This record gives sequence, C-alpha cells and structure tokens, in this order.
Amino acid sequence: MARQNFIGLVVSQGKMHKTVKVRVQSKTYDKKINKDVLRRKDYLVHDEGNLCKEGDIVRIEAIPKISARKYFAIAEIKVDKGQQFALYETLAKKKVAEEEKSLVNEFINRRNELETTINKVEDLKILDRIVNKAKNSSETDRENLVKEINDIKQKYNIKSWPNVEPVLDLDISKASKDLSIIENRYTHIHKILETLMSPEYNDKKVEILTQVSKKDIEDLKPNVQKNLLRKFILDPKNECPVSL
Amino acid sequence: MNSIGFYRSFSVSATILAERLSPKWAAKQIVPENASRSKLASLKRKEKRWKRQIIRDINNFKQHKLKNIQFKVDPVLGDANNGFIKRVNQEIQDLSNLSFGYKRDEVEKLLFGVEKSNLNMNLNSSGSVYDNLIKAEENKRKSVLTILNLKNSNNKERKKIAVERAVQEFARNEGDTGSPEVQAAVLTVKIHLGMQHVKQMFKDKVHIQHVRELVQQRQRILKYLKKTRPEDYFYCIEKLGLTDDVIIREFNMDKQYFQDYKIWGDKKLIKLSEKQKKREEKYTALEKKITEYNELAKKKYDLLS
Repeated sequence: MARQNFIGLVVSQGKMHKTVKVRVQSKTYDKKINKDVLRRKDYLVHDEGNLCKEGDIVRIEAIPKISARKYFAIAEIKVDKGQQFALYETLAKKKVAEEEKSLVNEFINRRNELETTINKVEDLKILDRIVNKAKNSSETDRENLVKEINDIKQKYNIKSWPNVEPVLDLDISKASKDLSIIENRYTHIHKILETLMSPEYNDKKVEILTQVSKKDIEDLKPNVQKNLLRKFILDPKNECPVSL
Repeated sequence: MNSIGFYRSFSVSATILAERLSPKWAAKQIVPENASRSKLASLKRKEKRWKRQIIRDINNFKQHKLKNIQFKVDPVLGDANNGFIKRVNQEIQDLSNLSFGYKRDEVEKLLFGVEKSNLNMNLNSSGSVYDNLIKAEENKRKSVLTILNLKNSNNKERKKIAVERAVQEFARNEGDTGSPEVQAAVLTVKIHLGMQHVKQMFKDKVHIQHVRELVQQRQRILKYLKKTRPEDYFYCIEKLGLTDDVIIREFNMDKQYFQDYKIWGDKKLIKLSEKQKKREEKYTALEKKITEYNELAKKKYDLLS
C-alpha cells in the first residue's frame, strides 16, 4: 500500500537531533459555515543527516513509529530555499571580509594623497619666499638660494618659476577638462562611429559592446550598436578607441 | 525500504550518544566488594531514581532555554567591532573632511591661489611690506581652516558626512540613493549617532522614541529586501553587523533592552513581581544543579573506569 504523503514547510530546525518540525496545510470543508477552511498541523519529522533548514519545502512520508511523536521521515526536498539562504550567508561573510581589506587600503591611500598635496603647497610657498629673498640678497648668498630653488623645481617637475601654467589640479579644472574632451569627441562623432563600424575595428567594437550591452551582440541591430557605442564614447571616463 | 534504513541507523546512533560522557554518570553508585544481595538491589534502585531526576532537570532547563533564546548580536547597534561603523566614525574624525562639503586639499590649493594672486598684485614690494602680506595670508589660512574644521561644526554636519559615506558604500551603482540597502545603511548610521545621545541623556524620552522608530523602520526595509533579493540581503546585514534573527524576530527597544545590554550601566530598570522573581530563582538554581551534575559525572567516570 502506498505510504501516507504530505508536502509541507520546515518551520523549526536545529533544536532536536535529526528532527525537524514540518507544517502541513490542508483544506477541509466546514459543515457549520459551509466553507472550505485551511487547517494546519505540525509534524515532527525524522531528518537523517540534518540536511533541512528553516524555510525549505519538503515532501514527508510515513514510517514505522520511531518515538512518541515521530512517525514521518523526509522523502525529498522540493524547494531548498532555507539551504540557499544558509549558502548566501556563508558567501556574504567571505565577500565582506575580502572587501574590508581593500577599504582599509583605500583609506590609507587617501590620507597619503592628502599629505602629498599639503606638502606640495607648502613647498610652493617656500619657493615663492626664496625667490623673493634671492632678488634682494648679495651674490654669495644667492648661489645657495638658487640651488634650493632648483631642488624644489626638480622635485615637482616645474620648468620655470614664476610661470603661467597650472601647477596644482583643482576639481573645477577637472570638470572643464572633461567638457573639452566631450566637445572634441562630439564634433568628430560621425567619423569615429564610421571607423568603429568598419570591419577593421571589429575586435574593438565587440570588446566595447560586451562591456556595455546586456544582450548578445549578434542580436543587436546596427543602429542599436551605434547608439551604445555613442554613449560609450561620449563618456569622458572611457578612452576613445579611435585616435582623433 | 528507505524508511526502515532510517530507523535502524537512528537506533545505533542513539546508543553511541549515550556512551559519551553525559551527566547521567553522576547517578552511578559505587558498589562495595562484599555487598549483600539486598544492598545491591537498593543501590540499583537508587541509581535509577537519580538517573530519572537528572534527565528531568536537564530537559526542564533545555525547554526554558529554548523559550528564552537571546539575540546573536545587539539588535540596535549590531556587532561591536563592525568594520562599516568604524569607517563611518573614522570619516567623521578624518582631517580631509571639512564642514559645508569642502575638502581639505581643495581648500589648501585655493588658498595658495589667493596668496599667489595677492603677491602678484604687489610684485615689486619688498622687505616689511612683503612680510606683512605673507603674514596676513597665513592668518587667513588659519582662520578659514578653523572655521571649517569638523570639530567646530554641529552634529548636523557630521551626520551629513556619515550619511554620504553610507550611501557611497552601499549604492548599487553611481547615483543610487534609494535602494533598500542604502536606506538601511543610512538608518544604521542615524541609529548609531542617535544612540550616542541616548547613552548620555537617559531622560530624553522623545529622542529614545525617535531612535526606536528608526530601528523598526530598518527592520521593515530589510525584511522587504529579504523577500525580493535574498543574496543582497545577506550581504547587506553582514556588512551592517546584524544577523538574520535580529531582523526576523519581534523586537521593541524597551526598558528590557536597555537593561539587558547595559546601555546605562548596571541600572535595574524593571521591577519583577514576586512570582517572576521566584521563577528566575528556580532556573538559576536549576542551572547550578546541572553544573554540579556534570562535575560529579566527571569524578565518577574517573573513579569507575
């Protein structure tokens, strides 16, 4: 004779050895209210190997009675949601531990960068002062001062002082630089796209499109490809694949 | 059949378990060599009685523990040495951040530019005029940096920087400020900053209520994230220093919480009734009893084997 079979949800695990609690839901007809009602019953189920986790959906099967309340065993795990959650938890722990290291490095780098910029500004100020001093000093002192000036110049790769070229990069100047790059590419966009779509540049095109698109490249029509490429090229962060 | 296999292996493993050093060893009686039959029988009865008592005690204590499961981590502040919170605190104390959204290096560069242009205007000056100019610029730099220093600003500025950091770390892509991860991270930052105030000002009930609402909102948002994107959810709570049970189980930041996690030191905040006191005493006595059983079991095991 076929064994009694139910499908249910694991609601409690880890409290008893090799035992889980499975909730089984069934519909019964209630005569008093002339309606179908949901009924729930919790079974203690034997789980050899402690495989199930809370949240799994399982099929349970009747067995000869093991203990006072245990007469079912897990026959199969239908949806292993609980086990997947457990897997995600372990994966997350690894990922976070890895990230932590890189974030610490990032913080140290930022601090070092700040130090170097402050030092550079200080040195440039000193350079100004020495230049002023050298103007009004006697010739014997002047040789030493010139030597100091040259040292600082060499350190930061400055050709002449005082000069007109920018010595420090500001955030504001970065934005204007980006804008000039975009303008330059925008004026030549037709040329760039034409060369990219030609068969000679096929490798580069494929390389960019794999980065950008979610679909397969073969499914994309040429006009869609062009649009994606245009978006890529007009972003100043990306390098222009064709030399202008 | 499969099920019969289950049955057999279960019974075998049960016997193996019993052979491990269990507190039941405490019930073993030491039999003298020339014991009479009636003495032997009485000792056997005694052992049985003891064994039953031990099993009952252990099971009662187990049931009590199952009913009162504690959270794995602090449900409000999370893990104590969590990396994310440390980084946020570092960001607030970091010298490169200034108030009103300025950065230290940018300000230094701009001030150098100002000094340079001022000197260029008075190119041919020398001696005391030049020195005075430089002194004035130095004063300017010092005063600007003190005004903008985060130590001299209010809590609002500090909160802004902390929130910015949280958004930057949890954003799915650049410019994302609304995903559940980001919302939960921002709420966590706000909770931590709020709890600093609560720790100092225990009479500020309004503020406590405010933090309580934040905690519940975070719980709600993370529950939604678990439903929709379970993989991201586990990554998010791990990074925030929380655990799954903290989110799923019912929690209210009440007096019991403040007492259990010693937010205001060892203060007793809840007065137990006579009945509750008795209950507590009963279970502490039971725990003591079980440790005694274990010690006795060890002693008897050494003696008898």
